[in-house]
Amino acid sequence: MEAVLESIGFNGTAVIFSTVNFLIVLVILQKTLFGRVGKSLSERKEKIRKSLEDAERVEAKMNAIEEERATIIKNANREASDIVQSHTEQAEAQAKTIKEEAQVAADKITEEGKMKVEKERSDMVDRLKKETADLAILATEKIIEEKLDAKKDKAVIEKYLKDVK
Amino acid sequence: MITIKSIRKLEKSEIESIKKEFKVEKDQEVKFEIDEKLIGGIVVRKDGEMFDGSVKGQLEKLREKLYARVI
Repeated sequence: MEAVLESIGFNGTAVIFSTVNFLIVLVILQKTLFGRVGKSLSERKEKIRKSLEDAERVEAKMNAIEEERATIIKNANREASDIVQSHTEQAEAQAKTIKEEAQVAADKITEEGKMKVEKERSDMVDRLKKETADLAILATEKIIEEKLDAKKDKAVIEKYLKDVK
Repeated sequence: MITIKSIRKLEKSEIESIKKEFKVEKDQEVKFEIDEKLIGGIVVRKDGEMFDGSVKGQLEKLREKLYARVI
């Protein structure tokens, strides 16, 4: 066996020596470089974990904000709808009131117009009747004036004196 | 005083009848007026009171009645 190892250039002492060196280097590295690297990695890992947590928190916050925004928009829409509905009902009520008032005013004007026309007609008829009566009296006066002589006038006086008793 | 209006000068008998009817005293003054607007008859004014026996007065009464019927 040894012969074989020697034939391929294997030196046991050198191997042991190299191994010891390796272990020493390993221990040194473990104490120095690996420790710092491990610490750095650990810190890095912690930083990443915190970053992830921060990201989750931000995302959660964003979601909350989004929900709040949606709620605000929903409420605003509802309020706007309520306002529109309220104003629509108010406007309809006002329109109804205005229409009713206009109808009342129109009826009043119509009624007043009818009354005015009726009064004018009645006044005109009365005036015509009076004028007719005046004309009849005037015509009678003229006829009596023409036909009433002294004799008839005397008869008129006698009759009056008889009636006045 | 008594005032008698007529459309013509009255006869004595007519004046006496009027005086008798309106109880005019003998010494009471009587004033006569001619007014053709009366058309006929007489208007007597005595003691502030007027007695209208004229044709014009009767026609005016008729006019009032016609107006009353009109209205």
